[in-house]
Amino acid sequence: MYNVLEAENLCKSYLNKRALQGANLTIQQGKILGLLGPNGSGKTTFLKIAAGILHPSSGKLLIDGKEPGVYTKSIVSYLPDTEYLFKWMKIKDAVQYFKDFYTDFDEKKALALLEFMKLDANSSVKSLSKGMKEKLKLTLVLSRKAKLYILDEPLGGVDPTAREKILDAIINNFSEDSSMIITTHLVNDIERIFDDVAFISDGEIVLQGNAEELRLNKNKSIDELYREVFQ
Amino acid sequence: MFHLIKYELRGKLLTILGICLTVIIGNLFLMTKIESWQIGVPVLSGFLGGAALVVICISSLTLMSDYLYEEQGYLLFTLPQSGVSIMASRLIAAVIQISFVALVSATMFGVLDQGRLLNAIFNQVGLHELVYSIFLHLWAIISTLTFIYFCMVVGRIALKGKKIGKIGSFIIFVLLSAAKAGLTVGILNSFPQVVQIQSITTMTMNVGSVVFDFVTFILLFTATSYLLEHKVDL
Repeated sequence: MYNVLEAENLCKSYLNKRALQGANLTIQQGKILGLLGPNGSGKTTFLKIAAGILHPSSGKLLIDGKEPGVYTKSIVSYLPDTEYLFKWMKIKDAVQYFKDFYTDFDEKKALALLEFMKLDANSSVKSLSKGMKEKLKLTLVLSRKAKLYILDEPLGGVDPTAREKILDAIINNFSEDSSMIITTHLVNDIERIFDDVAFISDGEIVLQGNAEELRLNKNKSIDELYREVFQ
Repeated sequence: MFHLIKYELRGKLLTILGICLTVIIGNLFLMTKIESWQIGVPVLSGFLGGAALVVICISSLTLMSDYLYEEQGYLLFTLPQSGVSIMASRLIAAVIQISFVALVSATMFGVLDQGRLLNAIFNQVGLHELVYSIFLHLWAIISTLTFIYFCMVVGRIALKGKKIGKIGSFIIFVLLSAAKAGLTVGILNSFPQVVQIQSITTMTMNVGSVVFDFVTFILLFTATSYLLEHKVDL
């Protein structure tokens, strides 16, 4: 089993802040990794570097053996924590947009997911609620046959019913050929789908391992472990 | 790249249609005043066309700044597209939208003027001069926007904040414009050779400054494409 993502001594500094301080992380093929940490711990910075929209100050991050760039963007499906779709779009335009730009986009899967999420293809993007926008973004991202899915706070600002729906969609559409990295603050809601977890604090990975082994060794749930690490 | 251009133009569709409708309605109104306002009518039509071009040129700048400073950047910069594709698509979309508005404005002016000015131009200007004028129009848009986009991208990379980045880009633009103007003057003095192009008015083209403009464009285009692909942080 090979590592889809490998990060070695990854650092990212801003003018007055070090967002990442030598983060080391690997993600194996077929695994779902939870990247957990409090606000400002460096989760989003790490994901943005992996998605190729932020550049590290030093260190190395490889996806499928390549540095982030045009190739890795073609095999990475990234869900950012922003409302990035064009305001003029209808849902069907957004689907067409992804179809036009990503050769691995599966339109049939997208339409099935839209139905599952109860989203009308003719609805305007700007008329959608936050939860519906999140469902749409997830539909687009999961409809790609990517090697690596990067989901930044997929449950952020979403009500509990929608959370269940989103989690079901993630589980049902995840393939063993792919890998996934998810950040969230709602650890309790999502921990059941993690194969591995990594705790990040002040830009460093402070604990990493197999989720089940950590539960057994520490005799705690991942949520309880999270509270212990970041108390 | 074709898809990038398609979505740029789709995003600006309302702006382009709004400007064109304003030009058309404005000119139709002016047509009702031909008897009373006489010479003022074509002058006002010319101003209307000029204003429309200014608005669409400003809109062309947002083709880059929206992606550098707004959340839409996440959509563009996560696409598997090279910096060259992104840069070229912005320029081509800008040329198309500016040329379309220019064409509508010129057509409405021609209708208002009952074709007198256009006839006069076509009678005195040869085909090659017309082609040359169109080429100059396209070159002016492409080279100017490339220069401005370069300043925008450098400002965005050097100064992270939205407000400070935009102010920084403007300062970089002023400084680089001054430097480029100084170099152009130097080249004009050192290489005074010109090519004459006969037209309604005699046009001359300095060979040295043309080569300089072309080399500058290539350098700025390549640098901006590289920066977009490798250095822009969102």
